Amino acid sequence: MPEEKKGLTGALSDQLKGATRGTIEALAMKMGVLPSERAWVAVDIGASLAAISLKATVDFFKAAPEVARLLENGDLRNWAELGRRIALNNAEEASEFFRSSADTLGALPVRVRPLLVNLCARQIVLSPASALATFRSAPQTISAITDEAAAVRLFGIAVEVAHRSVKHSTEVLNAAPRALAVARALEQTLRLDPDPQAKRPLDQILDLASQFAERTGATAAEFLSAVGDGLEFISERAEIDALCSATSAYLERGGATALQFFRSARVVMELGGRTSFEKWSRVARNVANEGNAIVYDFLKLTPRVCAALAATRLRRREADRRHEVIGSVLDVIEELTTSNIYIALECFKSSPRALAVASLEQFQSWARSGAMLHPQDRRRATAYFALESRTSQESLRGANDGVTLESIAHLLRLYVEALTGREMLIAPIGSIPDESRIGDGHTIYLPSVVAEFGSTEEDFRLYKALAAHAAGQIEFGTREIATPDIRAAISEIDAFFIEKAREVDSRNDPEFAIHSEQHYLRARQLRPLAAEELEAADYRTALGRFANIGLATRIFTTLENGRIDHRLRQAYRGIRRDLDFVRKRIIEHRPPVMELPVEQAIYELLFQITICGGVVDDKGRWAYAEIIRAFENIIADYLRRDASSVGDTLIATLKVYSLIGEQKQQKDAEQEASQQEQEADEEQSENDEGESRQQKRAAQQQRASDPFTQWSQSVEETLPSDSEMLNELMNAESSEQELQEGDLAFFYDEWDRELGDHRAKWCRVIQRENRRGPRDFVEGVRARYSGIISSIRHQFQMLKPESLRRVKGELDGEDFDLEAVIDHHVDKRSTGRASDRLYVRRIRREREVAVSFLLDMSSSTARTITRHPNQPYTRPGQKIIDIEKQGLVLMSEALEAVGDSYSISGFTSEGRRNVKYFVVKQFGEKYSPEVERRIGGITYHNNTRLGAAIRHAATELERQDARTKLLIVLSDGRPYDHDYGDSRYAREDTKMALRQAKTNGITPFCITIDRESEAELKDLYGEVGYTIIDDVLSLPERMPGIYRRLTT
Amino acid sequence: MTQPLSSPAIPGDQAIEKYRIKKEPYYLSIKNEHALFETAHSAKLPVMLKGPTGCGKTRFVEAMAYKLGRPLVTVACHEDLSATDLVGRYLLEGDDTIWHDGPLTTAVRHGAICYLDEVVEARKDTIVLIHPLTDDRRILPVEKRGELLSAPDDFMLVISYNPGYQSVLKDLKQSTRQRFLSIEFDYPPAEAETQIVAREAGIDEAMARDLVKIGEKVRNLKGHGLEEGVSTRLLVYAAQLIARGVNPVAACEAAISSPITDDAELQRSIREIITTVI
Repeated sequence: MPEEKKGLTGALSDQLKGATRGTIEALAMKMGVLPSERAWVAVDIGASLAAISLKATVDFFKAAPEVARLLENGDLRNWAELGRRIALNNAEEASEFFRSSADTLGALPVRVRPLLVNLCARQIVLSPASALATFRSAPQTISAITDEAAAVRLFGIAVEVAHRSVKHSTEVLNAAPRALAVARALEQTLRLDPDPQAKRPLDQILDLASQFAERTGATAAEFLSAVGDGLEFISERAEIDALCSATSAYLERGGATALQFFRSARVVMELGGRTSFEKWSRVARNVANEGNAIVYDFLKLTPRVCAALAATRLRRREADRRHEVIGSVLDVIEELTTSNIYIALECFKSSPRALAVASLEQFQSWARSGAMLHPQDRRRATAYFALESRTSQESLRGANDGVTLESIAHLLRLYVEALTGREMLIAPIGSIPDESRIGDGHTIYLPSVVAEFGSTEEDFRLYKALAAHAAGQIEFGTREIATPDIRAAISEIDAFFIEKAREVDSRNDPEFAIHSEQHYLRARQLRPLAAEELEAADYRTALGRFANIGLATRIFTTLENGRIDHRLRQAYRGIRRDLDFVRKRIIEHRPPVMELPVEQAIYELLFQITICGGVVDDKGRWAYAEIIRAFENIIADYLRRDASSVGDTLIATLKVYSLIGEQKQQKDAEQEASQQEQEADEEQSENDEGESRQQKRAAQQQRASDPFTQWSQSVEETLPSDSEMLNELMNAESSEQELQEGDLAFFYDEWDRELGDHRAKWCRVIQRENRRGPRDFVEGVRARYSGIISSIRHQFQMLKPESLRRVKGELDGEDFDLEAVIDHHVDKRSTGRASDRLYVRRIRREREVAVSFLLDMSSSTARTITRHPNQPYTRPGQKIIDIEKQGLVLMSEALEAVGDSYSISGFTSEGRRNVKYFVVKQFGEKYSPEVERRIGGITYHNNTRLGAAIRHAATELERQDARTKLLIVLSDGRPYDHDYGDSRYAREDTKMALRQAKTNGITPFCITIDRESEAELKDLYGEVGYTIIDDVLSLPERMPGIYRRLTT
Repeated sequence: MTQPLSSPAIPGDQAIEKYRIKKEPYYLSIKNEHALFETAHSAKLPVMLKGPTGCGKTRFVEAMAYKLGRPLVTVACHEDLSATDLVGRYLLEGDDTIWHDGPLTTAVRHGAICYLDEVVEARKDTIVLIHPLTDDRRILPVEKRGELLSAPDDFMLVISYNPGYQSVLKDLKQSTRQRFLSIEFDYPPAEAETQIVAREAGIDEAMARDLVKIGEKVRNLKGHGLEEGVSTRLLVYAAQLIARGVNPVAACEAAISSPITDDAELQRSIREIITTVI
């Protein structure tokens, strides 16, 4: 033994050359406690360590004996190696590592220790920092997990993951505590499990996690974090079983797919319940048969669709209804998968959009008829289910029992405009609100569909009441500015908060001050409003003076609705019927006050008193007698007065605010106390547990159907997010460019030849005034063609009709027709029978022609045409667009001479949502220098979506009051746009547009310069008139002639 | 076409007597239009009444004619109204041709008030005919008889004109409009209109107020598909129906929503307004 020790000391002193003899002695003594074999191991490592850092080496030797007691040989070596690697990076950290190792490892369960060392050893390869972090946080992780067996398994999984991906092993550990906590919470929920033999959810989760780990590292970590998102919606053993076993089945298809499955399944189960989940998994199985890629798409799509389904329509209903709807949609989808998976998926994708405007029953019949109409044709089915084709929209609406906003938007707009005398817009929202939003004064938000009552009339009454409310906001001055009332309210609000601040100051309690509004007030300093702010003060200014703006806004919204309701009833006795009718519906949907948490109950009471005319719930009335009385007094004092104004509402808001504020403070204190008690009790008895669980669930349900969430969140919210979500879902492939100021947007259908149907509202035409260019262009043309112009003017002046024409032999007229009178007398004398047609009459004869020139401004018109191709520099040609412009100048001269009313516009397109329609001259506009500049500004860009442009031009032309309406299209070739289908599609659409124009009494005529494909041209314009200009350069001179021929 | 042309050729008091207003028409003065009109009459100036249809222009002239004690010759103008129709013409009676005074000539001869209703509807050449009557010459040439009638002091020319039509063709030429004093008319203010409706139809004031409210709301729709707002006249009609026991909503439909537009949707929204108010 001494021999050995001597050897050791010798070896040590060899290595620790700088260390004092005493230190080495002491170390050697300590080492002596170790079994010799391990001591040698330590020395061995120490040797390599010493080369890096002496201090670390010393710390290593200090720690080694203790650590050696905690670890096996191999692990000890790993541990030491770990330290060495850290030292390579940072000696200081290594020392720290060695010093803390014993404590750290000691805190861990025996079985975990080797796993941790193993894990860290792997992680160190990638990053010393993360290994160190893992090592240090291990005790915390373990304590968060509490369950030793689980901890062992978890670290096992982490090691497994580390085999593949070191990075993800850290993530596994990070995600684990939450996931396991969720799993344990689930076990609590499922406590009354009759079968103790069955696997615990915790184990099921870990089983799955390790299966994931065996496949890919990343998915295991993500799986755990997905679990960490919560499983509280699971209430039965079978549900978690089903979820886990199905997920595990998908593992065969790869980790990513299985992970996506789990994520989606969670959402389906949460939003749709177990039956929906079963249906959905059957659908998924069917889809999976088609291949991995599509099933992955389907899985990925699911959460968004489900969320949209839950959001669009069902907010107003209780949670059960949501289950029912998702279930029913899945029923339909399952049915469709049996025939064609792709079509089923399309249907699934668009189900939220369809349901936003239709009832469930309508959706079902719509989906079925879609599948029947296009059993195998995926393209048509896609169009159908994307609600793009007209048939589809009609089919969805056809069996309508509800009323859609679309069908009555115009009517309601007129109604509201009549009531308010202002221009209003109607915009759809996804659900039926309990209360009207406070609008922005221009837009009224109404639900996109109402199918509540089963009869069109009653559904309409709901719309009417909502619209009347919105109109009431305007009529009764919700957005009044700087009235004395508002100013008074603002000063009262300010006074209230200043008083409050003073109160708090006097208590001089710093802790309280932080929690109180004082904190807030100091931050904002309650700056008095500047004069110009006061000039523009409206209700928002006043609400901004509150300490808690959100709370104030919420109260204000309810109270203001109450005031409007009252004023409406006062002013219009007819609307009372409809308001009562709606009120009845609202009352039916009130949640029982007693089941609400106190805070919500107070809002609910306020709501009921204000909107429903009193507390509906008897129990509630008894329980909250005092506050109810207070509310009722406030409302009677301020809102139920004649001619109450928004200022009154603001003061009432302040009163309620202060009342609720008091209640809230009290309640906060109570709640805190009770929460502590609860925590203390938690472990004691099972009965208590069960109860609190019930409460929790009730609270959750309530949250789902919280009556306030819809309207109180914000004043003047723009469009609700669900419509954006829906748009995203439909991934409209064609992006819309932003409108510029002064632009007008119009929507037109487009004919789809393969569909044999119109695609509804497919194209967006943006009407914009053409940019102004130089005037010289027009002047230059005038100078160049001066001779031609004067002859054209002359010719066209000849066309101008005389304004009056004498017609002889009329029954009545201004003057006698002398010859007829003589004849009359002669006839009378001779035969006794004479004609009465004795008068001359002058009859106005008018040339009623309105003509619209539609100019193709696509980039193909930039081509240069020349008569002298061999002299490109000395005699350059002209761009087609310039030739066309010259034609327009000559035409304008001619038309001014004849006096026909005309418009000039050009168009280009960049995809179906960006068809630009440039107005050069409108009907009725004078041929002014301004117009001349706009002609000069015509230039070429992009593509030719001819159909949409023709539709727009025709629509404009239809409005003209003329007997003859001409639409002259100037084009250089065939229609083309990047999403305009093949040439045949574009042609058919154009033809259809021309045909429609013709049926609407317009005579379309096309002047084209494309000589190359006459057959195509004939197909395109054959039904209407067309002419081909062979010699393009002669276009300007020829245009007036063509026009003259057309109109005489 | 509008006035019987068979009035005797000989000027006589009997002929003009039928133009005299026997009973005082009800007219509620809104501003100072009475005074202005009387002054214009005494100053021998022609007057143009501007305002939407059915707001009381005709009734005002009647009331003024009664007040001033002058006969009132009313001519509703239309696009076929020729100069002959206004001045008079020879008609064949048996073998003779007999001169018949037109309404304008009648009015000039007797110093009556001649009221040309909706004068823009008349043909431009007809309108020119009244020009010499409207300046200080105050004469009416009757070309066919070679006569030059000079108007007595009591004669007054009143035209009415509805600027609401947006058509360029229905605009009064400057050369014509600048010959007249103008009194602007509009629908009476709510209070006055309530009184008018209640009094004209004999209904209670609450109902009249509701009708006026409907009128006010419907007038908001002017320009949104409605060419003209609902006239006071129509409101009175509705009130008269109600006074005779017709259900108010039905009465309003018959007298308000249906007459003013053919557009189904517009009618519907007006109906909704009606049911909102009553």
